[in-house]
Amino acid sequence: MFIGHHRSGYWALHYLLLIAFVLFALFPLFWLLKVSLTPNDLLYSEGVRLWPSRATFDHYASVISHTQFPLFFRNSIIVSTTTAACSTLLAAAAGYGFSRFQFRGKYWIVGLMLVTQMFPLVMIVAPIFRLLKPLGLTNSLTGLVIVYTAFNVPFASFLMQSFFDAIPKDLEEAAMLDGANRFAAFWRIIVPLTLPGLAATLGFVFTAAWSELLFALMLNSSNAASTFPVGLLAFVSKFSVDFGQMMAAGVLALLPVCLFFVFIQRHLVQGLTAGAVKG
Amino acid sequence: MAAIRIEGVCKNYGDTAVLRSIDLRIEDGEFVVLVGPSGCGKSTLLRLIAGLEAITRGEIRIGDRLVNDLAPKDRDVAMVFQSYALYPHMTVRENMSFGLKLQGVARNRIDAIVHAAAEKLEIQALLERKPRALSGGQRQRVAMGRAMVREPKAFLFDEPLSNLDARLREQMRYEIRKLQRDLGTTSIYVTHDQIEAMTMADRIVAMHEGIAQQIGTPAELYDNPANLFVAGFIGSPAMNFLQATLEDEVNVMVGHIRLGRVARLGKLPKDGRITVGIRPERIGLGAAADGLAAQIEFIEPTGLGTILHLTLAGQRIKVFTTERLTVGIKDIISIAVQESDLKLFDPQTGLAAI
Repeated sequence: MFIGHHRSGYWALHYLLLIAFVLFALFPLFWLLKVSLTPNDLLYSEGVRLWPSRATFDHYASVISHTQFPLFFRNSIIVSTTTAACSTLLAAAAGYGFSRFQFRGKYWIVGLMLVTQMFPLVMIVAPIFRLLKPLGLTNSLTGLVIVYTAFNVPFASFLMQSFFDAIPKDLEEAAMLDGANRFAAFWRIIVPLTLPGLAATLGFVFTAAWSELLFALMLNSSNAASTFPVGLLAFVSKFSVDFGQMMAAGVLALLPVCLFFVFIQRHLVQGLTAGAVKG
Repeated sequence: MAAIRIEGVCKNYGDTAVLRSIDLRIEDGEFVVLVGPSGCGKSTLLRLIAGLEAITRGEIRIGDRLVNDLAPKDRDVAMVFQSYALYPHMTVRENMSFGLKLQGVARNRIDAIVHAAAEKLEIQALLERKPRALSGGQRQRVAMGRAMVREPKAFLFDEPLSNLDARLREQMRYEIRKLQRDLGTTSIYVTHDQIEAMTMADRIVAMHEGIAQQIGTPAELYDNPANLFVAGFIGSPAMNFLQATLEDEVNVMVGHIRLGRVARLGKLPKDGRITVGIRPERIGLGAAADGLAAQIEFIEPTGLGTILHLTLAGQRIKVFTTERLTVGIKDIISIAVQESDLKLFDPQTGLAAI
């Protein structure tokens, strides 16, 4: 009995901590939603309360019809999707190479890729700009895709490598003896088994590109090539911040990411554990 | 089906030699077992034949073709892995069809072949299941089926039974051998288990430190081991080795005890020091007055019989007997050996004196 009592106390504490953490993590999102639905006249007059006395979708309507947000949104979708696809393809190829082949210079290549992850990106904004400007890749979505892909591939490669490492070599060898060449073995045996890993990598890169602000801001001066994080800054003017519209735009910006994760979450949970534990 | 010729095959990993010049001819339809302790190079040799590793030196021919530079897919051999290596995302049927599909065999023909193989292996009921829903023995059968359907020139088995429990292993051992006999496919089977080697092989290749120590039928390896390694590896319980001297070139002496007389042997060292091997099951027990007195140190009953651990003239010796015994530890008993059962080895080179 004593042990049972002790355990239930332990579990209660366990759940209490979990609930506290979840609340803490979700509260900003809730606040985002709340402010986006609060009419401007109530925003400052009602004080701090959990829900406004009157909710409205006005902010959403004006964000969609009176701002350039739909353009930013479209740009973000293009940049993030392309970056996610390119990075994942490259990372899958690189990760497979690291996992399966011994080649000269492998140690140094992996080392260099690790080095790229070690310092803050702010340090290289200026050189990157100097590099892209003469190539006509500033004020361009292509430029952003290239920069994002370059910075995401190293980590994504290590991620993919861990997924490939978890798949026994025997399977490819069996396929190769069954009459497949290495690419066919990769495509028909390894890829289907690494789908969770591919989904996790896609999700990781997509989110990273979706929320990136620094380069999106520094490499662009035109609205035509701005992504939505840059667009959000437009709601901050010299004398005031339009919190209602900004939050409404923020909620809209969350939707694709949420949809994306709903779509891949089944693979994702499986994927993150599959990479961590061999078996 | 085809014969396999292996000539002067060497394999190095960096500076480490894993295989040192292996020569082996495997006849069409023969079942050859490569046996040895882990790290002896047996699996490496199998992988070289499969084409999963590159040969450092030497030649491998399957049938009339030199396969040194052929990709695994072009060698037309099938392999059964220790892990079975079934494709986890495919059903049993898809697993077995995979190779045929890659060959571009017509669909209805694939169905017929897979069905026939499944019937032979008694796995028809499992065709639509995924590998994770199968037991170890069932996976083993599916792996066999996947190898069978392609009718390859040779089967390569890489310790296929080591993940099964003892009972199942015994059953599968028999089934694999029976199947191979029915199909008549040349087979190379790798194992570390000398019982598997003895029970299954037409011929055994006993390997140690990258060298084929002896190649021969199970009876040849058991009765006439070429060296101390083979003598000690084949047979369970293992052969006894006693440090002895050869007096007057004919009397085998362990301490002051005379084990027996042997014919004059020129190959043994001049100083008369020899290692004498005696199989535990060839030592007789009895009260005979001419027997050798030995003290019992330990008794291991096995059901089938009893293993007695004895000391004879200060050296340890094991005796296996199927007699029911009423002896205890520290008892002195009398043992007897036949002179023809004494195997003499040069302790320096380890080679048998024949």
